[in-house]
Amino acid sequence: MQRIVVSYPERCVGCRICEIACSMATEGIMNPTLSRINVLAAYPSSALDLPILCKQCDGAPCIATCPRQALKRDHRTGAVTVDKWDCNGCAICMSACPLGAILIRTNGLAAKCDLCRGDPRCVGFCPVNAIAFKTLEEVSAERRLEAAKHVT
Amino acid sequence: MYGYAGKVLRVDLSREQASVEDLDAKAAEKFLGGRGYAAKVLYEETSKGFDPLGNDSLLVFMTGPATGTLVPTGNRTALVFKSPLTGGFAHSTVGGHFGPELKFAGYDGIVVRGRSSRPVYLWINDERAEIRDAKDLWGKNTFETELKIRKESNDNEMRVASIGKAGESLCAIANVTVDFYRSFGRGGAGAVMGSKALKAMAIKGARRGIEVPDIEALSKHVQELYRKLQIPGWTLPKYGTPGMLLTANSQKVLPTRNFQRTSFEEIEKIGPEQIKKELVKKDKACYACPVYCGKFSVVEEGPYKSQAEGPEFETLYALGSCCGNSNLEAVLKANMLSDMHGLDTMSLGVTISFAMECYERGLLNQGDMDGLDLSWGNADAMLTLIDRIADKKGFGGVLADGVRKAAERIGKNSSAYAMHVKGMELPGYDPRGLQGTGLGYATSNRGACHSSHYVLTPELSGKVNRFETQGKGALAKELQDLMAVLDSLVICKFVRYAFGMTAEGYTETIRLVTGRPVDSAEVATIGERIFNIERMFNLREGMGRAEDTLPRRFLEEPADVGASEPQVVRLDEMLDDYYVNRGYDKQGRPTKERLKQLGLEYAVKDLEAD
Repeated sequence: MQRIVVSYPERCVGCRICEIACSMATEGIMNPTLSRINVLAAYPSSALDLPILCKQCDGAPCIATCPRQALKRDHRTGAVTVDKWDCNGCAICMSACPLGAILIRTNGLAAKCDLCRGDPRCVGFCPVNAIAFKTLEEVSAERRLEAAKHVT
Repeated sequence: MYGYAGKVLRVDLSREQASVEDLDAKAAEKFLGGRGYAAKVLYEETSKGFDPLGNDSLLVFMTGPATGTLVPTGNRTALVFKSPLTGGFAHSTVGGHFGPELKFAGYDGIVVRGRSSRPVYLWINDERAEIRDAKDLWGKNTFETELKIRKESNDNEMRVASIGKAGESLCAIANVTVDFYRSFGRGGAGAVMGSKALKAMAIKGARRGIEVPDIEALSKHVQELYRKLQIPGWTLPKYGTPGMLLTANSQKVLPTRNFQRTSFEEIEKIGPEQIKKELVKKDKACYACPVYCGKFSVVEEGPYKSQAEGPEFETLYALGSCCGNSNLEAVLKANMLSDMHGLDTMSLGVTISFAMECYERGLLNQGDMDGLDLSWGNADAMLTLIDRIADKKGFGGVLADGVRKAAERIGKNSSAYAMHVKGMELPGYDPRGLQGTGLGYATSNRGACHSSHYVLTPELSGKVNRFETQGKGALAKELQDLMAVLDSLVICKFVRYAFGMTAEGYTETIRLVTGRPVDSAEVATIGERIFNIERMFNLREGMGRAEDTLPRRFLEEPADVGASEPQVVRLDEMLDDYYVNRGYDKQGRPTKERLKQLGLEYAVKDLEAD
């Protein structure tokens, strides 16, 4: 079953450790601007911290719009990955993504969460378990359980 | 350079010019960064007796090598300046996300000199540093200022530090508000910014990541630190700093009604349980911090409708127990007003409690105070007064420059009730129940400060006997030097439990971030060097043994602090021992030899300039 990195915004505290861990794992340097996961913080009401990253969509708009077929599905992990040989940095995928989950790296090429080849680095670093590596079915089951608690 | 960005931005507001210089690598080696590096700059680039609100005054913002990295709490920035409150050395540090943004923009720090002839703000986006017109921002509170700058820059993620009315009015207790709810606090940095007509600083940084020699080794080290931060029963993640209220109260060191009492009979009304139940909506963390001690709190409606990340322990003491105030919602509103106006809640609360005691004792009447009834616990009067202090309006103007100045203005021997050291108002721990902490208050370079040493940590935990004076001289020195290292890395003192309370605990982190093979002796020396250059700044300004003292109340009025009998602070039993440990003469001056040992020979001339 397809596992992706899912977030629980109600747990997120806005520490951005996931962003630092991601930039370390993917770029070998600490710079959250290069991170493929981004935490949005609401201000001045500090009531929301929202981790946003690629959902590895089915029928991904980025795959569909890339003029060079540089975005491909990794069939082992299910992640949508950027082929650095085919990508020319045109950034059409950036506009196509409804989440804003694609960025352009310092080398000019597109970058996005590729699930770290099946062992996403950010997940283990989160101090509050606000992100997890799960299937969508697992998440739905959790939400149903939560909803049931409210009823009983 | 590993860890550092390698550049410092120099801003001259008189000429409205900005330029970039290389980070002084030698200074970074000797002073680490942050508070230490900034203290060196302040000491070297200013002369004796300059007006903190004048042309020659500097604002030195400096991050450290850990800022922006994965190191737990690698998020802080130091601000060093001459304090309009004390007339001496001041440092502030702030958390949040401001410091990392500055590093990613490519700067370790910003040095601001001169004054602008018109309100301006500094706008930095990577290599672009602009001094922009702030006429549409002047007069706005810090929240409005931050929102307006972000909107105009079309960037919701710009980090902004700004002053409110308090800084614009040059209140000596004005802070610089950062990210809405955080502050460069203590000492009046807001007034210095106001005197320069510098309304705000806005930063966006993306171009420079931070490199370290072995990123995997750092990652493993950090994960080990995360494990050490899993402390069973630690109240900080669950309740935030308000957890300390119960400890301080039960140990009878919680200042109540201007330090007349050592515990507050209504503590449950402003205690951590009440706060969590009534106010807290969400946990918040600063950048790179796994402790999430921040608590976003809201009062939804009513006369105290407000929101803030807080209230923190010090605010709950200063505007709560110290003022005899048990109205929790009013404390949150006072917190929010302080953030909006840019006021230091500690200095504010202790100055208001001073006025309350003066009123209680008949030194002030309601007519003196514009009709305000400053009875203990009158939260509404307290809130009205806060607005007037920010504007320096009427009686607010008497109090706006802190408790020492207020006592001078009021006269009538009111200074007996002014709770400060060197002009800086006390933190929320009564030193009569914490002897070593009292010594730390008396000798810290920025005035009455607990976080410059945290001697209260071993004293409250029972590791050392809090009622004893023996050995406190050596302990205060060691911890003052160590806390200077934390303030130079720059990391948050709240994770000292994971790193430890000795220099040894910081060597691995420094090695992994900077690549420098330091040992604990060198780390301890760096701390001592930083402390001493700050001390030399103060000596140059004419401060010495006479200023290393405590309010008369602590020295002469015994208090029930949970000992077998009421206690005073026996400072006379500790101060000389402290000087000996520091290698100072009986006047509290470093000897030539000690300065040479620390590589501060060039400061020797200021020893002799008496």
